[in-house]
Amino acid sequence: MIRKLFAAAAVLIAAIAIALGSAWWTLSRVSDSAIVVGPWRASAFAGSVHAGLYTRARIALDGLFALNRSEAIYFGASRDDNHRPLRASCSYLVEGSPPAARWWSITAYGDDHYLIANAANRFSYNMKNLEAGADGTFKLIASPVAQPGNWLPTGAPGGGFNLLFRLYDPGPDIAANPAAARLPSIRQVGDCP
Amino acid sequence: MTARRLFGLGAITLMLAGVLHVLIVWLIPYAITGAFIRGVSRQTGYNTVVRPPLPTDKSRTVVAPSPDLLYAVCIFDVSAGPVRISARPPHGYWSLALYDRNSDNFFKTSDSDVKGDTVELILGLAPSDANSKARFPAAAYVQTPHPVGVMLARILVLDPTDMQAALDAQSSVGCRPLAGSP
Repeated sequence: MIRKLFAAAAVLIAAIAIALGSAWWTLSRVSDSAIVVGPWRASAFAGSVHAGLYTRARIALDGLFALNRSEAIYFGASRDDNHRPLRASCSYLVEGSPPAARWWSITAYGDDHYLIANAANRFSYNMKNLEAGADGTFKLIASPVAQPGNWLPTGAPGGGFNLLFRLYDPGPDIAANPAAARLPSIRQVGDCP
Repeated sequence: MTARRLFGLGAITLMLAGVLHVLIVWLIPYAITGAFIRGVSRQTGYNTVVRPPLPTDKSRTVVAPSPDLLYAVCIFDVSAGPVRISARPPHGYWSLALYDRNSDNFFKTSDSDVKGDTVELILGLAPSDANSKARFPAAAYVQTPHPVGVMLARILVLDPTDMQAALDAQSSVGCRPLAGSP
């Protein structure tokens, strides 16, 4: 009898450990991002009542209360164009042209998915406050140290960060096929300690 | 313990782990949204609008807030009757979204959808409500899948010149039981 109880307890504990570990691994390692544009990833069903089990859980963890893609598309990047993780101690040139959307913004978040503390109190750039060229193209530097022009602080060196490119009221072509969006490149510049 | 018995225990463990894995992933949005609902309602109660300032690094209530949006939040509870949601939005971008307890966005309206200066919604459990239609004929009736959920208004602030209009719009957002509505 005691042996049976012991076996049942061992089975239960092992099953819980495997379930927790596999849930964590799946949600943190396996991407369900059906939409991939360079280093940017988006979920086709974020905020939708048709979202699957894993999409809904991932959105709850990374971007609670998302809107669905007819209203907003959220492209996230945690790696640069060379697939290297974005590091808060490095500087990155984010370069692109305005997307077809009613309004858009680029925001930096820490590994914890919250806004990054910085002395300039600068957390994002949007279509209105970003200095762009005459042709509309823009460059911004995501960096831990102050930069001339459009500087998006990445906070104190150490750890990683990620960028979120929000497109609200996207144009019909992007809403129908977000993978066709032309999104900014993300390239590391200078030395990276 | 025989090899056959060990194999049997291993198979049971994996099957149980599979069921628990699905259960855990399914529960995550309910747990996170539930924690948000409990946290906000503990401070303000239900059917009351919370009007936080523009998000900064100190904003820790919800992950990935937009620093370009002024939010207004209401934890609605229609279990005692319909709730009236109203707003006088600004001329720029705004949206008003309703979320179920598992974070599903089951309703959304924005300045692209609404013509006129005000938004009026009656939120209830039933498919329609004759009383609210009589009292607020211009209001749109929205059926919520569950009694408790989250209303989230987003008002765009692209630069400081947008701020006053956004604050006025934020203060205009109302969320109150229909029974007590003027």
